[in-house]
Amino acid sequence: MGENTIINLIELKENHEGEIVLIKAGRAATQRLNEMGLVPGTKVKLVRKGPLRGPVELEVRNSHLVIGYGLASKVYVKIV
Amino acid sequence: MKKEIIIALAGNANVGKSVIFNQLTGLTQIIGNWPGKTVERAEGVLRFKGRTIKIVDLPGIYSLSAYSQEEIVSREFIAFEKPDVVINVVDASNLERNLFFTVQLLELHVPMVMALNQVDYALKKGIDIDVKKLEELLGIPVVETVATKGKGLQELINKVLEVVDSHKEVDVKRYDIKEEKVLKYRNEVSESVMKIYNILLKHNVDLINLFHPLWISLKLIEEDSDIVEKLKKEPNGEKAYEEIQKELEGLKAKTDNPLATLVTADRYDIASFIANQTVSEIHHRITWTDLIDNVALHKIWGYISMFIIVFISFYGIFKFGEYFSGVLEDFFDGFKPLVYNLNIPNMYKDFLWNGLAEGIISAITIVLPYIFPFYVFLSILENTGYLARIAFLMDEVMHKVGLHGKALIPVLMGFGCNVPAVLGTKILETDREIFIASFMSTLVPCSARIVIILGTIGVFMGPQYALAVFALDVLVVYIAAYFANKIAPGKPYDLIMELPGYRMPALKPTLKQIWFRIKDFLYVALPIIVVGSLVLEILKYSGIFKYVTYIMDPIVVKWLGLPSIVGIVLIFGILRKELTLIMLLTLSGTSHITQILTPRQMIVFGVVTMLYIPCIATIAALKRTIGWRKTWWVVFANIFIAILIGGILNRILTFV
Ligand SMILES: Nc1nc2c(ncn2[C@@H]2O[C@H](COP(=O)(O)OP(=O)(O)OP(=O)(O)O)[C@@H](O)[C@H]2O)c(=O)[nH]1
Ligand SMILES: [Mg+2]
Repeated sequence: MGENTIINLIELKENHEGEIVLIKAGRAATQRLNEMGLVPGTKVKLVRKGPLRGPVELEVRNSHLVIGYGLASKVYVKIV
Repeated sequence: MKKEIIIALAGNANVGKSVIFNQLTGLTQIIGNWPGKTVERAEGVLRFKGRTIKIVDLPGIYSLSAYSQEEIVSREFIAFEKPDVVINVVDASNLERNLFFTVQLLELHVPMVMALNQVDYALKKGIDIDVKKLEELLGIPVVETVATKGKGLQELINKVLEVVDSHKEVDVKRYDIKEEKVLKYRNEVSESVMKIYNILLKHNVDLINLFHPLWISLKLIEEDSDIVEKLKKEPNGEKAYEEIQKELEGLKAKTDNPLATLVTADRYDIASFIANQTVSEIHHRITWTDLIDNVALHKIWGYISMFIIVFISFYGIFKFGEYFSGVLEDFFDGFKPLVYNLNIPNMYKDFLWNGLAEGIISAITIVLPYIFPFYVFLSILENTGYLARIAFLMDEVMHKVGLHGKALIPVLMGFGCNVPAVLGTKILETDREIFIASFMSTLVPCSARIVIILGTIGVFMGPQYALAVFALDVLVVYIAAYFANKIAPGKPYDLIMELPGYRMPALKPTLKQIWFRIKDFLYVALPIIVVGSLVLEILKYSGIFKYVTYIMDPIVVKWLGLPSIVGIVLIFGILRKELTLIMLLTLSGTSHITQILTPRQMIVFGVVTMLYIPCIATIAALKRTIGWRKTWWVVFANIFIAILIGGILNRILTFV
């Protein structure tokens, strides 16, 4: 994958970083993710994924967030 | 000078608000290391320098656009009830995210003081914060605190009093966003704020007297439904709202993102700016948390280690309890002859021994030795941060029953006591999730029921049988949740949770927490047990049991295969689950369960007691959380499940 490829958080590999470009979830869910610090332009690192359709753990703004599989697949990042 | 002051503790989840509250008021709010423990506001009083300070502990929130029930509690209190001062408690080791909430408090322009808490933990992580600079940027007093050690709290209250005494009302009629020193939004947003503010002024909208104009204008840009409703209810509200809508169209045209995202992004920019100016990371260490989580959250090892932890603690609690239970029993057995050698009629001897002594003695010898190590284990689980890992590991499993992983945290708390478990389900987002999780909680055996199973099945048949009963319970809870989800269908919200770093449990608060729980047993359960035993003894002589057993025998004896008196103790068990076992023993005048129950009966009795009905206190908690109608549903479902599974077990076990 080259520069500027846009993928969702599930597709991002463990220990890789991305920059948030878009969140394609419902209004409330989007706002909630925003308020937990995921806004366009934010850098995130994918720390680990749970097994199967388990949640993902992100490192963002120097703290760790856990996000369910469904929501994580609606958060799009640009690989950096 | 104001004599009575109300202050609120507000901030993100898991920053130490409740520890501060407990330190200041001497009360005992639930503390632990995972986000979302405090779910209702709690009040306490501090007397300081001749003044009465009412302190309000609030649920943790990340923003003032609250979603779940418990977050709404906080927002309502801060924004609508207007405490004299808000203490914004922040986690120094995680400043940027915490400042996002601080920014919103600044927008409200409420009188505030910041408690920069957990500076010890921040230092361990290699983080240093320039407090002077932070004060300067925020324009409010900042006090460094270590809540768990009580450090800095006196100074914190001094600052609070200073703020109260020097507070001046802001003039909402003359506001200009350009005068803000640190609250800098992108130009379009700032301009819209001023335009909306002018619209509100023009229409003489009362709302700006209630909340600061900046905050209202931003909320209207965000299209916060609650504030919009409030605006529309005003005399000129509809008109003002229309004009605002028109004003916002221009802003909307310029971006792909919802307007709320713009505002949030700007707030985060302000928070990052302040954090960058004040935080210096002396060195970035690989923390313990990262190392432990490599195992604890691993796809395979995570689950294996979870089972090992459960297994070790189970045997640890059992062995500890079994040993001390034996020691205490030998000790108390020596007293029986003392009573029976007294020169009084036999009936009184029965009253004295069976009614009074036996109850207390069984409670102390059977219950106490097990609940002590159990509460120690529970505290470790709560305070280290491991519970949040379980939420991560089990997220997908919980999705199958219409919940997310975090729902498991209150349910697991049910092992200690069902009451806080049921109340704790308020951290969930929707009524149906709260309903399913509360229902699950009631089927989780609380410490009392665990003791009954350990003290009978564990001691007389072997710990592996007790473990099997608990495994069966896990299955029952899961299947019950599955059906509850069918009755109240819906898609679960997805998990969004901050993962706390591991912490060494702070000694003093943890010991206090353990003592508080044991105290509940000594001061609440023991008296109930004594009174219950006395009433039982009196009823025994009154001959009323005949009628009760007559009604209950078809189920208790025929279907469950248990002795007739079990029916009576099950009724008393509704008061307090410990009573079932203790009364069974006193009624049969023995302390050895093997004399009354066969192994098969012991298992059926254990399982039925574990499931059959929530105790009175839990029913009250259910009523508060899900309302009477659903509470009755839960009660009857429990009774049904207990009778069903008890009867099936009775039949299956006859063949083995
Ligand atoms: N090292 C350290 N730990 C602290 C300090 N203050 C609180 N803690 C720990 O942080 C965790 C959270 O504390 P609480 O008081 O329960 O947090 P809260 O803000 O009330 O959390 P919620 O009710 O969930 O919003 C607990 O494990 C505390 O022991 C501190 O100053 N230093
Ligand atoms: Mg709390």
